Amino acid sequence: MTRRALMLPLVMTLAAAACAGDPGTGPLGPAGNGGQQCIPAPLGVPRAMGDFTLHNTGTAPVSVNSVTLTDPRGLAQGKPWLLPVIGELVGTALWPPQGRAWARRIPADGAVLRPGQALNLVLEVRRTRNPSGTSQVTIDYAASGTTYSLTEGWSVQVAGTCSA
Amino acid sequence: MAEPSSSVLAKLRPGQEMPMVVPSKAVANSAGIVNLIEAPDYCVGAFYKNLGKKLTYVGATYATVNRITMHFSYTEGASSSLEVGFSASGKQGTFHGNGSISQSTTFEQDMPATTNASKNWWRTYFRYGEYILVCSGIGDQYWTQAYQWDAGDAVTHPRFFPRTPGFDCVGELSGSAIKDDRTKAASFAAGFTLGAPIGFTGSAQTGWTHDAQIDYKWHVNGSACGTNNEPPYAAAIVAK
Repeated sequence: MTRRALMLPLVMTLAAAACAGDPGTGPLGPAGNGGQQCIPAPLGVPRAMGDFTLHNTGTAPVSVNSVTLTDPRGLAQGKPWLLPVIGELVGTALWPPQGRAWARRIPADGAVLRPGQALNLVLEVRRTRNPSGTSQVTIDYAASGTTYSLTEGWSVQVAGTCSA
Repeated sequence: MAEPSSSVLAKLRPGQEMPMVVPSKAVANSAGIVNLIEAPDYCVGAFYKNLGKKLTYVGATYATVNRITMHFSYTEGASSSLEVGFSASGKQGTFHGNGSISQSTTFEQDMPATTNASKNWWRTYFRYGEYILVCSGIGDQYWTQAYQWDAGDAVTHPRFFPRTPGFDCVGELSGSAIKDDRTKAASFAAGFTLGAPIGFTGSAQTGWTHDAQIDYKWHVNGSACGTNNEPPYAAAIVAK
């Protein structure tokens, strides 16, 4: 096979990727580390998962289109919320969370983050099977007419017993 | 003269010589003299001295309260990026850091789990060597590098916890757990020390290209705090 023949598929692949219009990293930044947050809960009982912050690092407003579990295997989610950051983030908590930040929550879907604004994303999650359910979280959003999809590296697990 | 690339260094083992680089052509000057002194492209590198195994920092776990289980695993395939030291003379104390070399694990080294409040810097053994590089027209050069992971575990306890601002903390229910598969598990400015006759302290970064794993489990309600960001994005986590 000639070098040109070898190069052709590569060029076509790169061209296809360019045409797909991958917008790259958006104003909510890149995904974080790989890892997992496990929350203990009986089957079907909701818990709060609020480890993530949505931080608009850009110069234009960010509109959140949706927050979903990426690949919910044995997990179900409720309505996602955004909370002001007052002290520590919600992290893992009984549902619903308590406190001043929770009292000032807004629905995540359709929320607009001002440039520089950071809000705590809180999901209601419950496991629908034994022994556990696991998923990553994807945030679809738009800024300056461009849509982005951010899948966090840190996944959510709800289990009867979390292993250390 | 360029220093040897890390890919060349990585392949060099005790007793093994580096491939010689012979000039592809030499052009004589008007006097008919080929000046090799000005063309230092003839180099031979070789293992010079075994410096033995040295403890090297690879990970950190922190808990400010009791009843939190912490466990660091230097997983199979995890790697540490260890600084390489160069010296023109080879004399003690003249080595300076320049680049790094990656050494990977070939099996998993589990560090002991802890359940009480503690500050832990985990270490494992790497073998280090001194190498000599002889080039035409240039004096000998020396360098030191790790050439093999040797397993084992040890721990030291730093005096202070890292600072963690409150807005980088998340709540943790009793029974919650975090598994942190990091691409950059830990970074230590003084990752290892080669004493006499080298006198060089090099940096060490673990998990630069492969994962190491840190587990935390809370047996009481508490918090996970990142050292420079929220836990999912932080360089290190302190359990509280």
